[in-house]
Amino acid sequence: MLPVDRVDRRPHGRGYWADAFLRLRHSRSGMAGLIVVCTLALLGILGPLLAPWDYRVQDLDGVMANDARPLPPLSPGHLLGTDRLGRDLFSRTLDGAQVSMTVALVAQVVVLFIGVPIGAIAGWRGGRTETYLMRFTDVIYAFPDLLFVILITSAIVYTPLFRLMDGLLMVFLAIGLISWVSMARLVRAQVLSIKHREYVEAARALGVPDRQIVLRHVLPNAIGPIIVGVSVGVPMAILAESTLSFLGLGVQTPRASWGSLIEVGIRNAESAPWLIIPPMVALAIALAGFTLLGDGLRDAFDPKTSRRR
Amino acid sequence: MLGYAVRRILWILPVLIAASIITFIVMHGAPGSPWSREGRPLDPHLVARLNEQLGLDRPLPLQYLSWLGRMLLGDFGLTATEAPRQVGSVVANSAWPSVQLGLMAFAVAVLVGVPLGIVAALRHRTIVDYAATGVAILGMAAPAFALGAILQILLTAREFGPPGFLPRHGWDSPQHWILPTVALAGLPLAQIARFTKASMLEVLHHDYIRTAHSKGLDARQVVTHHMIRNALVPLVTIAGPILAILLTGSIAVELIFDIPGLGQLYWYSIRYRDFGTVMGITVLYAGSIAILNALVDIGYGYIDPRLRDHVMEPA
Repeated sequence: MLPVDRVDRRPHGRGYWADAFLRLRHSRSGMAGLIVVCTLALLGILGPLLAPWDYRVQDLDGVMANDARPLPPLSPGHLLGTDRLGRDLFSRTLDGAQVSMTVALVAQVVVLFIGVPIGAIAGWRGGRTETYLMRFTDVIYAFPDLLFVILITSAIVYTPLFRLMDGLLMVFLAIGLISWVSMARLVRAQVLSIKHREYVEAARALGVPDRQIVLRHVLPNAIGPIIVGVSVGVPMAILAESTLSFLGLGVQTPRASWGSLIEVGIRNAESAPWLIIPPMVALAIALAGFTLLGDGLRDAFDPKTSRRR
Repeated sequence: MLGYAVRRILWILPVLIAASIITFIVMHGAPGSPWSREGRPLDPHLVARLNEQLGLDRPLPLQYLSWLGRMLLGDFGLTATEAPRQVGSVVANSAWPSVQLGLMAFAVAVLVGVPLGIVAALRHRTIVDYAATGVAILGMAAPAFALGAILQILLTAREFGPPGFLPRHGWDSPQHWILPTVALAGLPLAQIARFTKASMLEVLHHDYIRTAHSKGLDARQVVTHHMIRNALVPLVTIAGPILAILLTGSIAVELIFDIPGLGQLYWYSIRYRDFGTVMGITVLYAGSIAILNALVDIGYGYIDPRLRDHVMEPA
């Protein structure tokens, strides 16, 4: 028999993440989602280079030549046409991609850095800590996310503070500071269900410090639901941003958001019905893409559920 | 257990008070007042009289405390409008269309979403699963305002169907209800379906399911007694978020379809700085979500006894 310290402790085969990625690659819809998301991210980054026009520029000559009406799709120089001010719809939809991708990224970073620690501490410590932390999250949770955001943004909508970064800054803060709450609740629920499992009891019996048990044993076993939570959160953030912008409370002109473009489209539905199509399609593709990727990630990180007997 | 339930319900009150304080600060900190009119200023005497009648001339902390005191007794005060009315009756008048819209959308979401999720999980990786999941993805991709906008443009146009069958605006007849309900139900439906499917798949591979099968239990019985019952437990936790989606979605839907509901009232009340109405609706919204969350927490202990010991232990 080998002495204990001679036992080969190196993990056999691939690691956890490599394994997960391999499983993601086997999921056709997950890969489709990944491709969509990567494409959108690229479009968001490279948008200004790809756009035939600046999203702010008004092609007044073109519009005037069309009896002051928006140019229809396939007009010379404007693949998808223009709005009433002569701004290129394709370029504006591209700018919307940049806005959405930025919101998605920033909001989820905020969510992870606030929600996971609070949920983990509440679930692990229990008692008074849990009560206070969870009541605190309840106060925020009790505000329907968007209503709170709507309340704040519409209260300050025409002030200089709001106009910083064309409204983007407020949207980031509002969405990020609201949506960590569901992550905190989710992590707490996970920790609660994991903390009495045998391997946690075993670690505790061995005298592993609390901090390490949470970081090494509890949270890694909750990573699946956390990733699913983020994957629900990203489309939710995009959705929140576009709803806000649709209501006129989010991204302000001249910047374009898919939400505000859809609002322009619905106002001009009679005279220029094509205006609503590109932002709507873009929003749907983005939401579907993130959702599919999220599903793929869930299957990848939680092999129990994806293994077919 | 009972003690926990009582404590959990009593906690709603501080939550509501905190929510109302935040709202009060935001509303009074915002620029503008109920009396600012573009290009048509109100008579200063009238403004002074209204401020006195509504107590808006008093110091803010005093205003809040007197509002809170009366609210706890069930009196929500007066609207900050040129002809002040009882907030309670204004809100009550708008509540019904919103409640009706929300309930119909919720019913559609649950009645379609749950079976969709169950079927997708039971027929995992088959054409049935892909079809059901496709519907759910479509719902995820069509938020209430976008779905509402496109439905309104496409289906109320004269080119489609008998003219006027699906009206563009209003809330007068069952025909008016169809499009807003569909628009609002899309996203919660998709979420419920997805959550149900994930939860079912999670349960599917547990040992007790294999045991139930190997005991020779009828497959149907395994599904209904062992799988669905366990799989629907986590679904309860998204009840709060679903309600929130319905509430906020209803703002956009009510604005698009011009439905005289709470969402529209809230929207215009914030716009016109109608302090009384905004406070009233905030308390109503926050209260309903807080109550629902409390019920979820309490109910969770009943449904999943494993959680009872540590969730329910006295805080």
